Amino acid sequence: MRAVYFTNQYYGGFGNKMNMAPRILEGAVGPAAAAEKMLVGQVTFVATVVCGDNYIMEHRDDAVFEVVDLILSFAPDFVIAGPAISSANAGTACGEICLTLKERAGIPAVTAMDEHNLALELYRMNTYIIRSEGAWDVESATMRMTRVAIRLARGETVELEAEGCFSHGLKRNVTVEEKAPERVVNMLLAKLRGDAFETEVKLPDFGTVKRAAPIKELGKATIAVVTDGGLVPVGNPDGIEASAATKYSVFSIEGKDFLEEGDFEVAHMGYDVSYVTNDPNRLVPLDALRELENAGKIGRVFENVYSTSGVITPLVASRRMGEHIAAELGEGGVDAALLVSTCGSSTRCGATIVKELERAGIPTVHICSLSRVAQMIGSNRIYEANSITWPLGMEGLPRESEKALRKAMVEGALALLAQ
Amino acid sequence: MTTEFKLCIITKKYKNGAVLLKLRVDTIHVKQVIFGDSTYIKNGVLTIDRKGLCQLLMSPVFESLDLELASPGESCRISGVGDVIRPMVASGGWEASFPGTLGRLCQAGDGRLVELSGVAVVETWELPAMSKTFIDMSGPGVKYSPFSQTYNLVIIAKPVSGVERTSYARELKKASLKAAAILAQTAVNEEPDECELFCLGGVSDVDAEGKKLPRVVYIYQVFSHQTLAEPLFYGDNCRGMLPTPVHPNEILAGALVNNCYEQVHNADTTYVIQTHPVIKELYRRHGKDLYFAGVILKNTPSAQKEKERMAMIAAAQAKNLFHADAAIITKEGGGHPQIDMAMTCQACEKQGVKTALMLTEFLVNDGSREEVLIFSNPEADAIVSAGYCETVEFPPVDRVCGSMFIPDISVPMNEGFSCMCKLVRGSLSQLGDSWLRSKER
Repeated sequence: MRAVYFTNQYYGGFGNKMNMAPRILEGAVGPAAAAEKMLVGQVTFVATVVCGDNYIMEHRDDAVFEVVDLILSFAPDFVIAGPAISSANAGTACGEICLTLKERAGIPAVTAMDEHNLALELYRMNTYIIRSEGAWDVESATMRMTRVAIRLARGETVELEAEGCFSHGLKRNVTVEEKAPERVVNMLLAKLRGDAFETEVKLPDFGTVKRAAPIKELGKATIAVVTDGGLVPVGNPDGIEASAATKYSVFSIEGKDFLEEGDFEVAHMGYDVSYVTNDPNRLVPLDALRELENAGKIGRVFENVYSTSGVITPLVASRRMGEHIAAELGEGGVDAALLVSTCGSSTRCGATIVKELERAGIPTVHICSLSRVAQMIGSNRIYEANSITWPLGMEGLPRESEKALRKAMVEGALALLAQ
Repeated sequence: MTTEFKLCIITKKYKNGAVLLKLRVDTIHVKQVIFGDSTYIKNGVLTIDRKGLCQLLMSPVFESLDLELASPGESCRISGVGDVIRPMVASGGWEASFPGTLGRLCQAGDGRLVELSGVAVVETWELPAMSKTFIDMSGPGVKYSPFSQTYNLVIIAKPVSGVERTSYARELKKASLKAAAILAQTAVNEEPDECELFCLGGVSDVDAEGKKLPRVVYIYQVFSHQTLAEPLFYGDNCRGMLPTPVHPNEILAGALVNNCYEQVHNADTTYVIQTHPVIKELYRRHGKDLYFAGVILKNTPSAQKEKERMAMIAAAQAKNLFHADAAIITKEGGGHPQIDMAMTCQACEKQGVKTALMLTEFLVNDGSREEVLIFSNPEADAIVSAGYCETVEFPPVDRVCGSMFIPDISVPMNEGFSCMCKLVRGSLSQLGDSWLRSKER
């Protein structure tokens, strides 16, 4: 079988030339040469493509396409990339190249990473990643990569764990003999006795994001509102899904002093939407923000509201929406944002968007009633809302008092932007 | 019958014990259900007088009420399913069954119940709802629902126009519970195929070697904060409820009834509550490898502070009222009740009460394993999964009972489609009534 080996400057023999552009070497180098020798007759590495880790990080998609084009010019049966061991940059480069090869050309590609490589979670779902164990394991990991890649190229099924691959991190149902209640009692008794037991659902690691720099002068800042509560103009013109949304709606509030009942509807399956439908300011507090704008307490309210429906929205989709919203807010000159959340999984989606905004340097206050969820996912600035169903309102209060309460809450939330 | 005999002796001996509720459940196996001229059971064949029963179940809020049968193995899809009920009647007839919801208010869980197995009453919900579910009587859906294997009496009650959702729900619930009681009533004089006795008292709290058995309490978290999503406890919804100590027999005997119609798949059916898998498992092991201390019914309010308050009170009850060494915690509803679960777990562990959690993984469809939980507190180190939300391909069927269209499915219900398995009523049971568990791939 014909194979191409992709590796970085270090294993390609270029020392620490991290910025080097892609280069082609004849045949296999380094660990791939060793693998070729061991698997004699099974594989021929026709070329090695070497590229600096930083070059790929700096040129992103362009560099990936450049590398992939070079690889494809050799018409390989399969590709191995890495190992990336513990480097997140190398992991991202290898993961991205394997994914692109698979998606663009249908060519099997395998990489290897250590368990703690930050890129693992990004690529395990859609690519084959060998479990490596640090620098001393490079040769052996390269062997395992090659073996798995050969099997894939032959169209065989790969038993992930048995062959040293990370699971795809996906789940499926299997039929069992002991129902869940029996297993949970067994697990509880084992825990009581101090015996070993294995949880069936592992606790997730959501990761953290550095706190974006605070706003120095709120009176000059442009503030945007984002929500996962599914508020959309009547007719839902952007067609956002009421659950597991893949997109968001953008609507203008220019020239409006408040959000009027009847102009909006709520596409959201996770909470009782009647209270927000009756008064949309309970979710998007335009009335309060406008007053604060007129009083000079904030610079201006950004003219567009970003709204999605966060109930059972996957993290991947939430992250992607967050990245796009962050880019659009950045282009619009937004300095800071308020993100208002509703129910549980929706707050998870909201917090994930908050993190992307903060990552892009837009300080964002997460206004939510389920502050525990926001904390656990990793929102940096959290302001506790009144309830899932009326985050910035209070059913039962006279409208004017409710508005005064909302204004005070929004001011409280804005104050967090200065911290 | 020998087991029953032994148990009866034990309970007699401990008549003056501290926990006095004694529930005897006589079950008659039904092998077939047919429509006929009157309603009776003979040799395991249940005959139902369709017209007569329709009249008994009719209500002024219904424009019409019809009954249909769906049998296991049939190419039939029951569509727009609301609740499912196990035929069950208390000694006083239907007027004393499901107290507070159907029958008059009285203590549930003491005395004799007669139940039918192999048959279920299935309601369809004939008003709009955010999501709806279905049951397939054959094909791949069978793997996901216990109700594919029961003879189902389907109640299709069309509402009069302009009816309030809550009024329709109440009348529909009464109709289906009444049907369940009437069907079970046919068997009160039959020789039972199975007899179970449920009594907490009179059971040793040490094992064969004289070692103290761990006291286990079950913290049963029900959904609340959304109209038509909360169960009914003795006829009232659970919204304003504080954590409430209850006897497990009350749950088995119809004190708690499902009332979830907005997002049907978020809560187990009354059928599963009547045969509560966690309570039955704890009973099965009561006096053997654990001591079943009791049940705490706990709701899930929407505000953070309230959640904290409920978790704290429930944990204190587990510790100080039930003197529990350990607790099993389950939930109903969608995402945010996970937080209640996590907080209750934390509060219990803080009190020295060890915990294990059981849930289903449906916060995402076919997603990655990091998507199934919204909490991550380290005390939650023992979690069991009763299934994962995966996409399933469903074939066309010959006959549809109920709605031809439901939300989430873009084709008429007699056609083939693929959808999340949670839309199958009875799948992803949060009370653990399932042979499925998740596995990583």
